[in-house]
Amino acid sequence: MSEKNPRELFKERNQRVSDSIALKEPDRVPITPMAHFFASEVKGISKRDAMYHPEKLAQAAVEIFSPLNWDQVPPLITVFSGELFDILGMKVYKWPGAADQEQCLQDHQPFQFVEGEYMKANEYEEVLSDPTGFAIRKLIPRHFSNFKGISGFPPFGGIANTSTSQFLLPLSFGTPDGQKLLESIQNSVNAFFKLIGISNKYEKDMKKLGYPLQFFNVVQAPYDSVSEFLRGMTGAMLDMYRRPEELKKLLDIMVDTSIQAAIYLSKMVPSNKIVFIPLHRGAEGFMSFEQFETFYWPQLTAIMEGLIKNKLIPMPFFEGKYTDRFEYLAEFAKNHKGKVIYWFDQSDIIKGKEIFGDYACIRGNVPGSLLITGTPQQVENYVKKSIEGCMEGGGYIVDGGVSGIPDEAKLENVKAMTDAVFKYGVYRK
Amino acid sequence: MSNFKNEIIELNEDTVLKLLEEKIANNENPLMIMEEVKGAMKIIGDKFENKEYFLPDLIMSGEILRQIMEKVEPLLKESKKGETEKRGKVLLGTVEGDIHDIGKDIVKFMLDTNGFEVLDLGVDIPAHVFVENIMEFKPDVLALSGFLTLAYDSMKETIQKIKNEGLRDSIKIMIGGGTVDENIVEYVGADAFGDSAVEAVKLANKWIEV
Repeated sequence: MSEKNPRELFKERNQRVSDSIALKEPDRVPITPMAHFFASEVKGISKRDAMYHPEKLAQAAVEIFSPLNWDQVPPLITVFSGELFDILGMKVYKWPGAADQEQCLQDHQPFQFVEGEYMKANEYEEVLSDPTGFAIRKLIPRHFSNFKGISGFPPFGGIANTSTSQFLLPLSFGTPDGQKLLESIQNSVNAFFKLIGISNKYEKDMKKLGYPLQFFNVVQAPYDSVSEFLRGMTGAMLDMYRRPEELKKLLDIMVDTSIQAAIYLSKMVPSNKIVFIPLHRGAEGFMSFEQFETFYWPQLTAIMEGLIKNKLIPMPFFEGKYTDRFEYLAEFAKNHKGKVIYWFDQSDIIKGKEIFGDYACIRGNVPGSLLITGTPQQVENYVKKSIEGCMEGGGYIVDGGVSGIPDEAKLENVKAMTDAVFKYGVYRK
Repeated sequence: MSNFKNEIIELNEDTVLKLLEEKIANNENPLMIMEEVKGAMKIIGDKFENKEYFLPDLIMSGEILRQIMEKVEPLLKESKKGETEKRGKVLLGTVEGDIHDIGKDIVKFMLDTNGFEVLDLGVDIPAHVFVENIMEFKPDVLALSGFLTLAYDSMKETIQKIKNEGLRDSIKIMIGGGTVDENIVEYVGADAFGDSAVEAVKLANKWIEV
């Protein structure tokens, strides 16, 4: 291995992953762990520092990940920017060091999602008749407190009439909130492109060392978007009973816009086709099969199909357990052979291999609990068992379960996980 | 089975509320109404346990219960004596550093409907707050919740502090949450972990009956 130059290694690693997705046997099972704060934790950088100084996180990631010989390394953007959050006046997360005291956590805490009813039950009609108008006037101000001024944006009728819109537009941004909005937009543009600059530099640094990045692109299942960013978990579940038709209409609207958003984002990094789809509230235990079939799976699979049609590679992450939903996955996989990465958390991946291994590339699922509290031997045993159960015929990629490598994982366990892949995952020398 | 009870079990919100109005208008004994409601909630809990019902159904039942209580509670005020005895006390909370509450709230709901007295401390609870509440509330069971992996160490510290205060032998401790599994029980020094709210009720029942 050591005699290959980074350019060759880069190509070889990408090929290994592509082969696995396409269900061809590569030379070795690939290993592509995701991570959030793991590298910065190992280097003793606080979570607050990592969020406010992504360049420190990038440096830690290069230092910690590059000796490990992984086939793809985690992207930088899995850790959100504290600076951008402050500028937006982010209300949907709490994080260490937030300028807004209400959102502020301690330096050692990771950013955490704030459950809320960001859209009221009686606002369905408004959303369904004018989603963009609703987003501008109601949703964005609720999600981002420094963007409150956008709620004054004049309605279509006003904009359409030039003799009034010539005054309406300056008027709507002339308020104190409007002025703050303009300033916040400009600041967010600066912060965003600074962040992208750091992320691009990280990508280049990794590439120079021979490492491709895992993904840049993210979409969500429509039900998760409604549950997390609009109605809240309780609201979205009550809507299944009280407003099932309206809920379904909203979910349907989100299918096409989610595909469009992913295509748009994919243009930023055209060489990387993988689209991460973290799944939350469709898991075993959350909803019944009937509810899953009505409100979750059809809209999610419609998005995945749209991505595939546009030559993107969906990578749903099945957080929690999905073993009892394997038949649904099998049916979709059969019709989209070798086009998707199915990343599992606590599901039984060896059973998954038996059921849909001929059609689906499986990724996962070394438990976070083992990486944090287990011994290197226990980790090795787990990876060995997974590889033996899943490697046949290609279509298996090693990673952790939830969040890949958890922030608190022991480095020796992460090394054991990696070594086990090189020890047990070889198809041919 | 009465129509009212049946409609609660079937989660027919509108019908339940209409029947309730009729019962109140007919001056039915509020204690009798509550008996029916309790019976219905027990069956809903069973359906959840048998995987006939899931979270949306549980949340809907909670919403129906809330609306019933709004109407019936004022009528109950005079006849407080009718309260049935609780099965045992459970102290509950999400450990320090973690602000997630979905799993914890479901556990609370299930323990409540199964007749336990539950004190829910909320989220991001430091070890010393758990200790103070063990001294004051004197629970039979402590239930620690956490979604993030950082919760492992918070659970460990909490249980260590309970040990240091000489309180460990007075309680049984269960842990649960998204990333908690059997690997964690020994690490933090708990007695057991529960994979679901149903498991939490089973554990509490087992421990309190002994």
